Amino acid sequence: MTDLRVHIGVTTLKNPILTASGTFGYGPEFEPYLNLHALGGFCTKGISLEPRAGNPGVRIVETPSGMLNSIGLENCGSRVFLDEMLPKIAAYDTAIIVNFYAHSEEDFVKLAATLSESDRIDALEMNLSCPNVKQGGSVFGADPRLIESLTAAVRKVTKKTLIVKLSPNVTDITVTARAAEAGGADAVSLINTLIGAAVDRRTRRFTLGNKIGGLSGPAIKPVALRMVWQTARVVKIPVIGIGGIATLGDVIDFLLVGARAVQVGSANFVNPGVAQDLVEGLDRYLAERGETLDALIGSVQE
Amino acid sequence: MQRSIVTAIADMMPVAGDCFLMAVPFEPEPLPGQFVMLSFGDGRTDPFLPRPISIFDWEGGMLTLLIRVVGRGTLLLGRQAAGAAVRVTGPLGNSFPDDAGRVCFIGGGIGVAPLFYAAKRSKAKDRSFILGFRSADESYLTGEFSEVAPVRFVSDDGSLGEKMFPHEKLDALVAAGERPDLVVTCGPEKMMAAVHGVAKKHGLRDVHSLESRMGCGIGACLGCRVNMPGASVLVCKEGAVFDGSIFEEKQ
Repeated sequence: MTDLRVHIGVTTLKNPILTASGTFGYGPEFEPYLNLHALGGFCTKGISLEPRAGNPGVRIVETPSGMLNSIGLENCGSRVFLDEMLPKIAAYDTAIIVNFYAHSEEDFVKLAATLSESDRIDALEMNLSCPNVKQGGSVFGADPRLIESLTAAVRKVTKKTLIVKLSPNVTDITVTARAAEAGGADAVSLINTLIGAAVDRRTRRFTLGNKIGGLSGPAIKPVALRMVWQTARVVKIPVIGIGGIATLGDVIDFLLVGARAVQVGSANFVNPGVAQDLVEGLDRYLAERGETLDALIGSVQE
Repeated sequence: MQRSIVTAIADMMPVAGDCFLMAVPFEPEPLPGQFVMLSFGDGRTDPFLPRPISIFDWEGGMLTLLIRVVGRGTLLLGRQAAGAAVRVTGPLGNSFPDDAGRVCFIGGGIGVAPLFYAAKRSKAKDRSFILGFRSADESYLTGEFSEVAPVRFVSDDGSLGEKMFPHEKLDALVAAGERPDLVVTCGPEKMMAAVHGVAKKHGLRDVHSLESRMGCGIGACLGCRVNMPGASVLVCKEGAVFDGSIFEEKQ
């Protein structure tokens, strides 16, 4: 077995394959389909201070090689997560990364502090960019000054590995990435979904109840790959690549352009066992070539 | 235990009304009312998502799905030939309850699909169907259903069985003294709500299989949540089978 370990902040991941927030439930949903111990880690559904019901109406629609979603961050809230959900996944020998979301700096800080009290949580992933929530999300996600001050404020209350998840719905993602780095983030993860829309020609209405939603799936991979490459060149902290990863080839592409780890997203919906296949595939790929993970990362010829 | 496997289609058979039957080897044995997520197994990313499909039949390791072409995904699935690879994830969701006495299975349109296996597997002393179609031309597998249990057909235009709605037929049967201990339905939401109205009137126990757009079928994407009059439900995880009270406004 090749050494697949990667270091992100104070966390050592056993391998660079993670699952993306919002595509992996709280974890146990996938028990029948894969060995959760095999994963580098998984990001939970985005947790807010209080429970959220999410958006009404149609929440998902398929698009060419992808999907739009407007779930609206439905989640059980931090209290239920810590008291009921976390104990169910605590025994998994894998990194638990809690994705979290709030509407204000005050709530982001409060939530980060609360989550940091749990020894079992390995890392926090700050979601600055959910496109499906009317208040807050896009404001935090696009303004570099806000990102820096918010990251710094959260940094003060947590010793856990702090990952800032970045929105692609900005003019220049390297600017927001640098802001997160300046604020004290241990890593940035990108990209979150691209904002899109779909209409139903028959009814002449928007297909999604929320009208707009986040585009994910293989369709967004070229955009994500470009943004990860640009970001990895300008920040010193690790970059976690996300966007349309479904095959071993996709994983290798992201590692080549400089991602230290990757998150598998909507592909989990198609094949709930795909993340473990990717871990095993990456191990074989490196072993066959006698190559180390470190040598592979960022080795694209420019 | 659920699983997600890539397997080769064993058989494809067109049936009337834009429908087809797809047979695929699949274990384990599902419970009546459960469903599977079906997608292409050849690595293509378009269409991307799997489709929730109810279980028409399962016999000796062979799963049969009755699928109606409703969009591009089902159209392309329908064009697959025996031997083509598909991914099947399941069996998913809860299941229909059973009753030792008299069970009436009521289906409308493609909603008849899960009722064949449900009636076949039921241990009820007395099983019967009420099956509704738009017309005789748009009906399918009527002979197959009749082999499992007696069928009362109804249609919108009277070209098949009686010209009435399924809930009206149930009402007439109860009035005539044929009172089911359990009513199991699947079909358009309006039909199921109307059947619930009749069931409530007569104090019958009724359960219904709901349909919703699904991303994953396993409770991860939360895409299939629907706000029913009685409750907001995550169809894949809490259902797809629900008690009739779901059609009643919450007090």
